[in-house]
Amino acid sequence: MKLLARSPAFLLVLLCACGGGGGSGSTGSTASDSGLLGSDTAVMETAASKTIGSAAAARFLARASFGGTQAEINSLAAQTSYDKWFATQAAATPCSELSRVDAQTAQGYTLSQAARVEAWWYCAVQGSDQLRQRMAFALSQILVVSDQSTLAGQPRALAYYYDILSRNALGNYRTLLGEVARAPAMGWYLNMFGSRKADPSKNIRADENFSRELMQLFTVGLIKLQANGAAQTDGSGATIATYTQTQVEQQANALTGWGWPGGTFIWGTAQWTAPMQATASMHDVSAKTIIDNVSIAAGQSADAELNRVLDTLFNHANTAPFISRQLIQRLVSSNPSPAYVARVAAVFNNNGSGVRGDLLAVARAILLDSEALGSSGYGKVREPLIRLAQMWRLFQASAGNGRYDFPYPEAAFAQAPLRSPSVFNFYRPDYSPPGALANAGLVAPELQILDESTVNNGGTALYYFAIRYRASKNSTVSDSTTVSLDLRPWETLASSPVNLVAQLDLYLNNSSTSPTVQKKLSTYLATIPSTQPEVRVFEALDLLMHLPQSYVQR
Amino acid sequence: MNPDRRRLLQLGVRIAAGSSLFATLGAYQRALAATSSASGDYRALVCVFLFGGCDTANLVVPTSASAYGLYSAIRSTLTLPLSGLLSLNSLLSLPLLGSNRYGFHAACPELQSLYNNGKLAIVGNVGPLVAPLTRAQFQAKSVPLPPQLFSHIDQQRQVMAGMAGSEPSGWAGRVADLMASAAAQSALATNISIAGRNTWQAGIDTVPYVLSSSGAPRMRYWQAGDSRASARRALFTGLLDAADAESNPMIQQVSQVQRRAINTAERLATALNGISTPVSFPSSSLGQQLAMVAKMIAARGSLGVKRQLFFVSQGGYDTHDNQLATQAKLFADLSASLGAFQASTEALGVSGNVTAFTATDFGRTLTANSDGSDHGWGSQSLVIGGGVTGGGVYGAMPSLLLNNSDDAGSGRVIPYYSTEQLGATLASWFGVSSADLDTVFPNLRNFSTRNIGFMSS
Repeated sequence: MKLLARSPAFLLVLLCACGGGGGSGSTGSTASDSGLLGSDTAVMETAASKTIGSAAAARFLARASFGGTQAEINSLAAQTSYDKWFATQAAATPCSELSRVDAQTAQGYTLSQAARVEAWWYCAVQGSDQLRQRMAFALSQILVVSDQSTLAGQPRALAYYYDILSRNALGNYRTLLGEVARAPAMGWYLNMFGSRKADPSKNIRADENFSRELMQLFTVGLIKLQANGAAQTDGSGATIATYTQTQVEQQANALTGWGWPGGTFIWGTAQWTAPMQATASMHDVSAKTIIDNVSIAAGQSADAELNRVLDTLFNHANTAPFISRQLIQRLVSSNPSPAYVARVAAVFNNNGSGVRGDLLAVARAILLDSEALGSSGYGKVREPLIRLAQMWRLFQASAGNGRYDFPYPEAAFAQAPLRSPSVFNFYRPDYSPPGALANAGLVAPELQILDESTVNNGGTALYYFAIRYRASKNSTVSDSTTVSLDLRPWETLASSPVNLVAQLDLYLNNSSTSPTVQKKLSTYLATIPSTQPEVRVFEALDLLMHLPQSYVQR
Repeated sequence: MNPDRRRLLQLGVRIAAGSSLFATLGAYQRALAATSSASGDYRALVCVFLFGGCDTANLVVPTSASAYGLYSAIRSTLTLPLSGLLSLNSLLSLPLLGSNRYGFHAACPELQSLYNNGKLAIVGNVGPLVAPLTRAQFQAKSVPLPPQLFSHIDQQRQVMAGMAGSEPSGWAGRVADLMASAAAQSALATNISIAGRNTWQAGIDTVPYVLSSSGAPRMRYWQAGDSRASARRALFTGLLDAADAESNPMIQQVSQVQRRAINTAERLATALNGISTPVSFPSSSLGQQLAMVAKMIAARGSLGVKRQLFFVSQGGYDTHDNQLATQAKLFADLSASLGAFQASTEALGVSGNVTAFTATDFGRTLTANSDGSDHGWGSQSLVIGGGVTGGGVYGAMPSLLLNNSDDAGSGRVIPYYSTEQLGATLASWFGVSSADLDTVFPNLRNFSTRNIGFMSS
């Protein structure tokens, strides 16, 4: 992708193709570029040094992070390539949920799932490792564990699990799979923990749960795929199953014997923050035949067999397109073209240095693909947790106690970190609501949780957090525990509703709201007395957040 | 579903509108015009979806000595003690069961009572099928099989769709599509979910309304009582109209959800104001969902609705682990919640107009892993209501023998009835004509029994 930075003509085409309301390139100074920080002042007029521009930077950071702050957007806007941003992100210290949970507990806060969710918000809003955190959140919706299970009382097990995701989010997918499979949280959630070898005399088999979902959801999927993610079909046009029930059972036998580290199988002291270990006497040592008729010889250890299973699945031709497509859906587009999937899958298979599974390279390929930077496609419906995080980041939200307490966001949004109803996440990758989308053959996974109840509950939650703001006057903020926005820096814009709407739309929606709609908003805002700039800012923000257009990341 | 199939199905609906549906609609309109009594022509179906794949082999358990012996042999560590089972009177003589007797799980006294009072029917061994299937045909793959057997998400979808395949619409959605043009059906959606979006209610033309257990939430922003409230509201209404015209269909969808949410929430809040349930419900999620269904049924008059399809759910049935303890809690909640719901509809005088039924991803393996069971196929369904000919087991119960004629392997039971036969029996009671049943359930014609017979009217 270095080609982008070295190919000004190509870059120019891409930049001019994106955004809607102006300000996306850097050749023309528009209303949206003339406001707060005037990022275009340093623009050189030569094509060779074309800067990314404000709207393109805002658009990129909406995908690659939990939303850009003004400073981040303006900084990236002035760059001529994304290389420095990626390098900085790759080097950023991972924000650790477990460290945050333990530190808060040490200060006297209750150890609970609420504390874990607070740590998630903290890392999403305050973490400097934004790309890592955004990728980790995407991975948490593929490699799913949930506290809606027997893990409800184990917040540290889930914080440890999330740290596995974030630590490896820009690392290697095979390494990640190995740590995920051995994590006690996953062991409990999908029952590899405590699965023992079969006892045919008692009609007892090995537990199939992890074996099945490891293939169906974490690696290869149900049907054989082409390199571009489209289904392979047989002579009659039917899809082809990736594996058989017998292979699920045989692989389940290979995955027996796992229990607590330092203990004997399931007997021993619970250790939620260290990899599980296997007990030989509980492990099935017979020979097995797994997916694609790969043989596992008799007499091997549980550890060796788990590695063999993971290597086999990681190297399967399905894994790259299967995982790549879902990561694209989480970051950029619900409906990537087959060619886009194929390009990203190719990077998954080989990062250019012969390494398979390099997630930093995959993230770069997803975010810098021509389809992502161009104007084609419909984008994706924003995830509700990310909408709130974006608002908090853009408006520098904080509470007096330094915490981000919103412990049960699912009540408003039907989404909360590591809290999906099942291993099938909050929504299916192929969800399509009846109507125009289904008729067009398009999917919109996030619309599965945007219904007539959640749209109002979620809207109300955003309203409540928006109305908690610090203003130069008439502040509604009075306590130290509720996260509140800082609207003060925006009040100077309020004298011009046109400019206020344009600036907010730039930073919230990468200037994607049409001039017609912006005009309606600014006309309404002008009816608010100019002596109440904080009310103009608050109402502009609230209206923009509720616009149907704002629900869609384009 | 591929576009061609979708168009075909839509075409099927349109063709039906020119023939049999016309008669159906005429009948609806006559009935709607004629009705004036309290219960009138009202009918409601309530789908109680048991997410995760319910181990119904431990919900309905044989109590006859020989059959219990087979049960305990195959279930191993999952065996329930005979002494705790709640015995069921055999009110009906149903040929497939022979002399076998059954009992409910010990946690289900309300279900036992409903059965013994003839208000609950058990439908034995239901699951997705394309056509009737024997074990030999399953092994030889000589009859088309439902795709992706034993996968949660695929089997959920097929059960809800009422057809084996990747159909994105559900049978309740297609029933609502058929009725969408019935003039007296109000603007309120026929399909109401208290458990989020689901395939069962997804129509091709019609969209369900999603309610929460605590009612229809309103957006706080619209309740602001300041001097600009009406101007703000007018502005936003205009913005939704503008969003409808956007070329991006995702924006159109969001706009439509917002508009339905704003309009319907206020209407429902008015209709539900002052409505309470006639009996108390469990405080569980399922109990509160069913309480809201009972309130909606109580408010049917002011809402002006005659046909409603409700979706509620209970999760946690994927018992790969710790099954006995987990299912005892789940079954207790299920039983108490369904008992309260039936008591409510009786108190409201509409018991004969409301039918609840359970469905699940799949049954579970009859054999055990250490202390749980894995993904199976056929399962028992419960049907409850005043219109049910209850007190019997319809269909065949699992033989409980490995490698027997109903075993797909490790005690994954090949269904006796297809989910479409179950759905068609319910849809027929709901008012769908026989001809339209073939539109709603495309594979129904592959089965000779079109009505299982558990509905009395």
